[in-house]
Amino acid sequence: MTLEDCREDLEWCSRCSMCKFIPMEVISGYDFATVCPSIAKYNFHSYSAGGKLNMALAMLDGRIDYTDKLVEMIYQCQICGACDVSCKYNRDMEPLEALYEFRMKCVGDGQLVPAHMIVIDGLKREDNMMGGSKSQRGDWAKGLDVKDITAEKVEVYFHAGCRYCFDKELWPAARGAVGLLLKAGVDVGIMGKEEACCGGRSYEIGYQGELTKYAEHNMEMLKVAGVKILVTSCADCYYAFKVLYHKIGKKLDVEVLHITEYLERLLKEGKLKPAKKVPMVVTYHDPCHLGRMGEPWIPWEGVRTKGSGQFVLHEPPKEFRRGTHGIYEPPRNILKSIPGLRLVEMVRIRERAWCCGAGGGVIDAFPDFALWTALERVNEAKSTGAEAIVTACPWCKRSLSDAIEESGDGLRIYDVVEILEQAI
Amino acid sequence: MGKKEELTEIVGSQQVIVDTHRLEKLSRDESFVCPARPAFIVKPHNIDEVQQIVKWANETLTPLVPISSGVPHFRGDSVPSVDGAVITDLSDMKKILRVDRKNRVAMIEPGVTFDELCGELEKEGLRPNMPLLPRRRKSVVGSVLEREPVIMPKYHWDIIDPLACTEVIFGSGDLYRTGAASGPGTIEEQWKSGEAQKSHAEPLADWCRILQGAQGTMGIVTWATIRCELIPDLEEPFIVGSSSLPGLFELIHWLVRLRLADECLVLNNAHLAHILAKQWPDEYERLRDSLPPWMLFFCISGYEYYPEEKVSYQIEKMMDIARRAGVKPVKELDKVTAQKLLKIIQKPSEEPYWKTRAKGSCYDIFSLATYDRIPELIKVMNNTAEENGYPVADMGIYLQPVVQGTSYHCEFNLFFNPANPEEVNKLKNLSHQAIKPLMNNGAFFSRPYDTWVDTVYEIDAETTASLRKIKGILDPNNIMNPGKLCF
Amino acid sequence: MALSRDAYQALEDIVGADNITEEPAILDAYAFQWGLKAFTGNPFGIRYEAVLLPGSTEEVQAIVKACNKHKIKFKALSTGWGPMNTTGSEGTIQLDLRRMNRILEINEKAMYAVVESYVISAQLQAELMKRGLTCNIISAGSNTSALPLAGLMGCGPTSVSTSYSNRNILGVEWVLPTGEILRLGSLGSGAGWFCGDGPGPSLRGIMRGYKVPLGGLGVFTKAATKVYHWPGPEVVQVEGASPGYTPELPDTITAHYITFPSWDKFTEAGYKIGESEIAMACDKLPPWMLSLNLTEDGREGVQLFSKIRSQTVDKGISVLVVVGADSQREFDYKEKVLKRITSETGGEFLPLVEEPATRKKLIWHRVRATTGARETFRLMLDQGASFGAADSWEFAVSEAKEGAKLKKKYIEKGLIMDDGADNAWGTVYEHGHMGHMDELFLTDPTNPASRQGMFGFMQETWQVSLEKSLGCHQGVMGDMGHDLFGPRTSNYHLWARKIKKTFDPNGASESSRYITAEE
Repeated sequence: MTLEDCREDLEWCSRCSMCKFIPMEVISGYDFATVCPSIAKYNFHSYSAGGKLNMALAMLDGRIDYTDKLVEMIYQCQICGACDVSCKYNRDMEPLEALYEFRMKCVGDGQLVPAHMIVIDGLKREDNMMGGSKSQRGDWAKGLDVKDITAEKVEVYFHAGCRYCFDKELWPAARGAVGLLLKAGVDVGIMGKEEACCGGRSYEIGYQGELTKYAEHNMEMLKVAGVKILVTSCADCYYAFKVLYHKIGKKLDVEVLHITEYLERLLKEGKLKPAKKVPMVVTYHDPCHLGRMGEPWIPWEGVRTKGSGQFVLHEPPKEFRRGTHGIYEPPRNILKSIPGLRLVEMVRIRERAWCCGAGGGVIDAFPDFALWTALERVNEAKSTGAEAIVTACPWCKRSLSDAIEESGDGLRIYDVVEILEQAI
Repeated sequence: MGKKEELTEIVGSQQVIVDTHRLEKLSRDESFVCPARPAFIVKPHNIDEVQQIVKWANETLTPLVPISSGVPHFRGDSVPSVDGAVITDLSDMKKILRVDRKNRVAMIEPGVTFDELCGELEKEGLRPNMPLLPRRRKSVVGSVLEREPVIMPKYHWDIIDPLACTEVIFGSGDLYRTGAASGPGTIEEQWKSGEAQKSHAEPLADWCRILQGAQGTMGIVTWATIRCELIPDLEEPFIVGSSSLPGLFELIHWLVRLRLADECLVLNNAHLAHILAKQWPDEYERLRDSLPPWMLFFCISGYEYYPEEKVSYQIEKMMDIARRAGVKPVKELDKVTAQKLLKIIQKPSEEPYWKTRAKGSCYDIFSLATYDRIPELIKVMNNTAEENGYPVADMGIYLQPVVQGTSYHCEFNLFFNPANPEEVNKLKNLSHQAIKPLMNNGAFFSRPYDTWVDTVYEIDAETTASLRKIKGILDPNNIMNPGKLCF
Repeated sequence: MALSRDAYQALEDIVGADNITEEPAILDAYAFQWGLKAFTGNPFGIRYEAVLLPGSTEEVQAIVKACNKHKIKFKALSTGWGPMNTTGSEGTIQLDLRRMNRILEINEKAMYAVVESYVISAQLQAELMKRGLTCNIISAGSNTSALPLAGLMGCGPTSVSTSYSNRNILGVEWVLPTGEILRLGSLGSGAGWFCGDGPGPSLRGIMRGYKVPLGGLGVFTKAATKVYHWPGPEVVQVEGASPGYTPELPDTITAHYITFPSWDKFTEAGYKIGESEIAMACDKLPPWMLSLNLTEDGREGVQLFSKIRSQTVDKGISVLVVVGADSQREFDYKEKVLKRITSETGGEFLPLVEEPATRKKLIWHRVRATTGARETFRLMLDQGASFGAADSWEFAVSEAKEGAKLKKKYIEKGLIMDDGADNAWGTVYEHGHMGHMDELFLTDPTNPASRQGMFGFMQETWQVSLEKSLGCHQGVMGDMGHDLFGPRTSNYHLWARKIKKTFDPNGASESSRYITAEE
């Protein structure tokens, strides 16, 4: 696929501005009506999905050429998919695909963001997006009595992901996840320093080849290991394994579950029993890659045809991913199962959740923008009266933690796993 | 050929009046504006004559002062500001051109009075949304052009209501039809397509809004369409007496918001006593002293479909709101029955005009304000009246929710004896002194008359400048009622 | 024609470097409008020379003054949906008002709200509902500005009970084309926002007609709009995820989709529903739009349309009536009246909308006006609208009847999409006092024959309006259209030009979509 393949969608943006807001049906007040951090921060229409589609079309038509500003605009976007949901509330088109393709075109044309070049260089060298050393990738699990799947056969593979592996502050959540699995008697293993990046983030910043490379690598590793289930605590990795691999024709031959899905299953089966009270009022932040973007990939190959000689229909019929079937309930069900804990919801939740700010390479290239975005979310969380934000992704936790620290608030932040740990 | 002859050529000799007595009568009115004697009164029969008069006035640079209502006049807007003006009296243009039941609209010429219109409308089951007790000879078109408040606020969607379209000769002499009447096509052709001249706006402007409130300074309207309402099948009027306003405001808010009431207005005791009294001063004083300080009057009405059921659920709801507001709607208050009052206010005033019955004349000071500012305005007015020796107890106050309750027309009626120079002088001072403090306390004089004009315009330079530009477009030679407003 | 450096610097000094740009890519994002392709073959219009993001009225004023000084044209937009937002002139700068997005006041007791230009209707309505109030939302959708001077005309699904923008305006803050700030009515006298008229003549009269000046007469920065009672909950709780939300509404709000056997019966019902004051919405939502409204993708919409066609289009003319009440008694009364009117006029309820979940969804879609883009653009067609002048309900119906008649020809030739030739959207205003109807039509802009069909249909409808006195179309914009309609319409165009000339002597406010001063 290329940007040119998106031309019809580029031309058919009706410029209605829906991509700037959460779907109109769920706007419940003046505040928290916007959904796209990029246009919310930078204001020019060009920062919205619609604006980017307009610019992409202008580029295809040879009206504009690359400038530093244009590349910056393309990348000052978490590619969080919120615009895609809002657009597709009414439309049968794929704005998010166009945003991806615009980035891929940039990379293909050598229009690179310096900060991303550093990250990608690191990835190529050390197989991670964090600039860490491959040899230290497994340090997070030191002392855990957990199998190494490169050495032993297990049923469940726990993939930590680059952020958990190299962000020491976040280790407790990853270790806690493994601990809970072990406690529930799951036959789980990790890859330690042999674990490699999922490739998802590199795809999001336009490096399609890296995704293919890591997809093939991970497929091979999993095949050799012979695991049946891949579990990850990282929403980005989850999205890559479950959605992106499938999208590029590398669907994994294992069941891909986010840790919250698996823990919910264990709770239902009675293998984990939260008994201790956790008297806390919390709000849940849906990670974009687990929520709206976490719904399964729906392959479609076909053409657009004219119905009645006029309107456009997809042949064969195309089922659109509109964010309807993302992973929304498992984390909530876990929280609801915890005695004493009260979950209060923000306005922008589920498919219309506001991004934490980290995604799409923003945290690497535009940390101020990432922080701004996260601060918005922290403010929304505070408006609910919650004492803590709970989330289910290390990137979200990092970004929101930084914002909480910046704002000097007493708000706390946890991973769902950490809350469940307290209850068990 | 002199001016008289030239006018005679246009309208005929009978229609050019030079009678000194009649000219003298129109050189002043009940207000305090300086008198100026008109040169003639000219009474056109139709639009062609009106257009010729305006063109003539442009050629001869003769000021024209349009009037359409019979005397007495009260606000100074029909008194020429300069000598030598020609009063263009439209009272002979009396045709009711169309009454359209289906679209609830009537097309009338400016000479048609409320009395005449009500009679014709009734035949079709319609009624006008009337001002409170207008003079029997008050022109309907004159009233709507003055943006006179109307007594059924739920039908008062926009301040322009009940005025819809007009046919007008601008001060430039050009004929124009405003709103949907502008076309395409003739009025008859428009009727054929189902158009009823209900929409006051043209594609790019809403000139009717410029004519409204203009006091004849922009042009002469030769017909207008007036929004009408249905005559109810069932009416249940109520009165609520109260010593204070907040509870009444609360009830009114919901009556209008929930579209429960048709007629809905507030009067103070002096005002209602002036309306009801037939004998002076005894009956007036007895009424004034026996009535509570404030009375809200409203009527819940039922129409074609199950009127009893509608009125019944609406009364239930209204009573519930009244309870919560701490006020008590009744059918009779101190021997004043709601039914009687309803019948009185649904018609123009009986003769003599109610405002002149007590002392011969009445000076009104009125403005718009939101409900929360009204108590302050009353305080200001009471103080100013006291300072000028005007008996506060005799000051009428009329509060009319307008534009579906977004604000209130707040009117103070100062009854006086025009033959008593001392009284007149006091009142002059009072009116002069009251305007600024009222403005400082939230009053908006959307319709400035008489001596208030300068005070009102001096604080809004941009509006003044813009209005003058508009005046330059429509009346480039400033022949239409020059000297009025900010022109 | 780039801006001179002096001019650019002057503008940058006003808004700051972050809020002005000449970046070609950004300028192209603003030059794009879907509808242009149908007219010119190119979705990009003339590029603005720069885009500015003013943050206050004072900044707007300073920009406008600078434009007059440097002989630059300017044009402001709010949410910017539609080809009318493009400029027709080289040398224009764009003012994007999205930073001016505050709700300044909601006066519950005086029933008005004051908004800046970039508050969208969904935001305002949501805040109003917390206070038991609602507002008129234009039919395009609640994703557009709540400023009653932003939408082309300003009527919407609930106009039967919430009127339309031109009649809802109270106080207005208006930066004139020369840079003076005009505050209409009570605002100018320092008394607040409650009235937009006077002292003396109302300057609302030159501010807009039944259409707005489309950026061609200065910049409207703030306005007060009337608001209305809402009999529903403070927050409509919505379950599920996009696009298939399930709203929670009380049983005292309902809707019926009623098909009448003829235009005459449909008209009669409109009057009766209006006069009896039972409707919160009385919305001629055509079956094609209903089908797209209720479905989650285009294919489903097409399928639903073919399913309900025999019950609607083939049977007569349909209207959606939403009834809302504060109490069961009120509700029962209104329902009883509606059923009687339906029976008197031979109407039939569409079973699909009688199904409770579908009904609730539809009510919320209409009250919040969420599906404008779904009903029009989902199937990648160009939507046009013809007719649309407002007057009596009967007049509005005449427009729709003529529209349907003419459209049939084009449908038969395959030039316009087959919507059953019944795709006029419209509404009763103000409980029957007036009505509006515009004939929507869908064409394929990638097909030259279809594009020609669109032009042909438009031309014919304009012609028929002139011949049969069916009003000046809402789609008439710019000199060419006004010069065609004006001479048959009291020469309104000449008087509008006088306004333009007088209030914009330097021609700074770009007005090619409104009217220019050139005769």
